[in-house]
Amino acid sequence: MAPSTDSTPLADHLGALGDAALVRQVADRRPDALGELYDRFSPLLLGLTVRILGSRGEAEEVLQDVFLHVWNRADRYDPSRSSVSTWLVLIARSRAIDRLRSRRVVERTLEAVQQEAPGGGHASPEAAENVLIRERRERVRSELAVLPAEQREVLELAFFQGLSQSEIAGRTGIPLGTVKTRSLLAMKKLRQALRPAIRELL
Amino acid sequence: MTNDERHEDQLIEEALAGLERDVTAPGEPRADAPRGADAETLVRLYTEVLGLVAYDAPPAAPAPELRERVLALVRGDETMEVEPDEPQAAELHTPPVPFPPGATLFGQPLEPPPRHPAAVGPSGRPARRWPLALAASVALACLGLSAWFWLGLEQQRAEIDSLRVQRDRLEEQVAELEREDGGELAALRQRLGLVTSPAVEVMPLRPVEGEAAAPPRSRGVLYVAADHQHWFLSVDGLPPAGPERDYQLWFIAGGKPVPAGTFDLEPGAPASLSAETMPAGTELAAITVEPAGGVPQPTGPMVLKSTEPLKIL
Repeated sequence: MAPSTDSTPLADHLGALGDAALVRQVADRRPDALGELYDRFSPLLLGLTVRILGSRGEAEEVLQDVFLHVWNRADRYDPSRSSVSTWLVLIARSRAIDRLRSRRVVERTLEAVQQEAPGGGHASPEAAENVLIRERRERVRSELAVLPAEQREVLELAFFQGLSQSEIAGRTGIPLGTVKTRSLLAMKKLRQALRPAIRELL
Repeated sequence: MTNDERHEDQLIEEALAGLERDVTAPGEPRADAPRGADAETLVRLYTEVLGLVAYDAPPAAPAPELRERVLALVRGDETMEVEPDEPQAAELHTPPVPFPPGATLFGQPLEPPPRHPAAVGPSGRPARRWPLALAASVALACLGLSAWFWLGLEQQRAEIDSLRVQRDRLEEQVAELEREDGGELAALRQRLGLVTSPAVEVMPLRPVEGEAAAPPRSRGVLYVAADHQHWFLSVDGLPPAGPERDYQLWFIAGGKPVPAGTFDLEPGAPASLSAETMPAGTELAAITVEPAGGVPQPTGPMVLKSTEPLKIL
């Protein structure tokens, strides 16, 4: 976790808050609460945006944009619709995908992803990560790893590259119906496999 | 495939479609609302599944200054400038060397520095190192220009960030205004949707000939939705109904008039009326002048009436 400069008792108190309570503090315009939220989720969100964009510079710009957006829209967070983690992930993903689409150079991005290892230049991103998030990541990765490759591919193309099911069908040459079936199967399997992680988020 | 499975598949599709929605936008009613809590729960679970997929990406530690920049921006310190790195000590400790007589940099004469023992050659005469000094000066000037450009770039970035924050604040204010005036806005949107729908039925209302209360240029249009329940009336060109008077709209169903609402007009201004119910079998519409608040049966002069019957479904 990135070291916090807010070493006041209030900051200590914020560290003990749950994610949703922390977002409420952000909605109350408390910058130190945003700092705590940043410390918890920025490695996850930057990893996601780097994976989508393939460029650390752009990914960091998106990350900054995401947290400024959260600062202004924290009051719109609806805990009945998603966990804070998912809310932030979807905001960051949406922003990164928007940028990716505007670039219209998906192929070049893929090359960049291969050339630029995520986290390069910054030592030990895992060490900066919240323990809970790290454990969650390990669980998710192990479950995604056992997903059939064709189902995983469809899910990754949709999530990390923002492709619609028709676009996936066009790119992979798989019939649209098959793409839909694979998406549905992947989602159902993950829902079963990730029950503990989901329960933790709710 | 069972109905339950089909239903679950639809909910998964809905969760997937959620990837394209603005998650900070106010909640939208579902297209197929109302529906059970189980369906909401399932959509929520699948949304969480999607959120967890992000954990597959390796984490990345942001640059430390990014956190400070974000916090500085939200604290209102929007003009924060990141100082460039201090030059390395070796760069600052270039040994003083003599310049050639008359040498200048940016129009300023270069004063020869005081002699230093190290700058004196073995012969006791000053070493001829002015070309090196000139090169060092040019390098320093380039360094200065780079720093200047870099600072300018940083200032522009700070301004862009500041503008983004302002934009977000404005969007928030607009959203708040929309929330405050949500009822009126929703009604306007509904009317707009009705009058622009390709399935809408349009019933013109024309002045009744020989009726003094109906100016020849007055007119009305009744828009009736395909469900024959939602309708919207727009009236123009009628004078104010007069003291203690209102205009009253009537639907004629089965040959009998059914009161549908009252309205009045400001001089020269149009008027409108709308509702979400219409009597079954409505064929015609008419507008009369009645006592303020309306009456159960028409009593006053008829000013506008429909010229063609509404198609009965």
